[in-house]
Amino acid sequence: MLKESKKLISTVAKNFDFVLFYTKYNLASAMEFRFNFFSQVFFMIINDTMFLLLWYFFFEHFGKLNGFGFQEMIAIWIFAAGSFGWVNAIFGNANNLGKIISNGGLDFYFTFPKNHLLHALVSKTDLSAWGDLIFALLAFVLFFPLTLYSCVWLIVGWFFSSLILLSFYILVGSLSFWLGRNEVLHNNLMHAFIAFSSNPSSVVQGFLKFFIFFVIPAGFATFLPAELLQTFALDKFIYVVIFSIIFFIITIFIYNRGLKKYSSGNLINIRS
Amino acid sequence: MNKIYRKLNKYFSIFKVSVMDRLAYPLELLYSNIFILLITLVMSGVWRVVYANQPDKIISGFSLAGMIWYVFMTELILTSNPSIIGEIGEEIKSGNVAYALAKPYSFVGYYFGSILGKTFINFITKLFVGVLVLICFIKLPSLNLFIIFAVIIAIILALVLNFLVSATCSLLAFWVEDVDSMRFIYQKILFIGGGLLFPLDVYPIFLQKILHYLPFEGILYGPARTFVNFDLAYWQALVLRQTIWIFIFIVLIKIVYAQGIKKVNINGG
Repeated sequence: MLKESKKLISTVAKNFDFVLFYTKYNLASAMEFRFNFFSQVFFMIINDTMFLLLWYFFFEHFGKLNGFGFQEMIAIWIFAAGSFGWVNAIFGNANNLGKIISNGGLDFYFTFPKNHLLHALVSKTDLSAWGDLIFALLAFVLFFPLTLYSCVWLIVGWFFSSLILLSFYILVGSLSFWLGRNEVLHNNLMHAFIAFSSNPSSVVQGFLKFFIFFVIPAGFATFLPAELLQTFALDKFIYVVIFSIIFFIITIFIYNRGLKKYSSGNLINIRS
Repeated sequence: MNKIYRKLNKYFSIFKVSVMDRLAYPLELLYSNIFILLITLVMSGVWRVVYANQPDKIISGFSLAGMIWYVFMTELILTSNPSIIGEIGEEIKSGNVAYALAKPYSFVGYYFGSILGKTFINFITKLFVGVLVLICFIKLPSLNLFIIFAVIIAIILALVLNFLVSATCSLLAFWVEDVDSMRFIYQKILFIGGGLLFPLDVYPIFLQKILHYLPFEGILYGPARTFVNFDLAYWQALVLRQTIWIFIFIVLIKIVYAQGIKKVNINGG
């Protein structure tokens, strides 16, 4: 048992080093085109700010919706933009996983000793995602009190929120094992996730609530972490932790099932 | 006359090819309806809560059902029209634009025909599925043949105007290396300036006045309002403004393209 635990910890540590190395490598590579990188980051911050501005006008005009106001909206955006930023900055290929699978592109990653899925996910960074991340951080610093609890929860909440988003990316990407090319379905599901996770949670009731929590799990990824940022509630904390872990395990299980249906291509990849 | 017909026929052929291409994947067309239905569902939830707190159940002339139709129409126009900023920008960045110089059609005109073909099919499918789903829950706005005609005109002009504004942004790729960021910014300006999720009447008065003089109102708010709350005087003013903006952007595209194409270096090969 002790031996297995040590092995597991060592695998996690090695993979963590691997992800860290790739993130540094991707960032250094992005820095080769500094202007391009900084302009994408800058414009993404403007982009997110404008979206928030839209809601500012709305809440100024109509006031709170069932107790949900602009401050609550910012909390939602801290987790929506934050998780999107983390996932796409570190696992920048998550959005392309479906395409990689349908093109037979996994072959390339099979030839390496590292976990092929992890390797495929980290081998790219989305430049604009760094802008989302900075935006989320700025929104937190500017609009929320910097207490020990809020800072700790920001990091912990981002972790679980990102885990859910990453799992959803893998799940949607895995559909390619069965459906082949499915970019439209992929884009629609991902847009739905982003749209659900960046709208007021107080209006979500009945069937829609079930849908947003269990079909497209934006509720667990942003609504609950945002509520926890404002006040701690043990039950909500447990829901987020348990759901994100179970959802990740199920996703990996589905991915592995799909992998059995994977057919190699004759695509030759050369990485410069 | 024959010359104009032949010229337009070229772009109509591109339009037809694009329509056939879009119809080649019927399952994809079906999937493409998911997002618009879901976002309408979410926004209808937002508006239900807002209207529950309104004593007269009317906001800026919109009833609750009208507001849900409004959101559906703005989303319909936006999501039917694929963004071309990235696509044209990439063609310019990669230098493929040079190939267009040797072809018997205009570079922007080609994309115009191609995008309108895709937009046409997207629009019809989403309209059909969306209306079919929404009329199960809410009443259609009162329509007659003239209003339907007026809405169609406003929507066609809106789609053309959206294409022209996007094309102008994408042509900046002749000078700026990355136009992807411009796509984000244009989208968000359109969300706010066009009134994607909320009618412009929600904004502060000073902002409404500014937006009234910009082209974005004519892309989303104008056609959606015409569909929900038809007003002849507003429609006439809208069509006039849309037409003026279309001419302005056609001229602008010609100038920008003429200046930009001078920067293209052709090295053979």
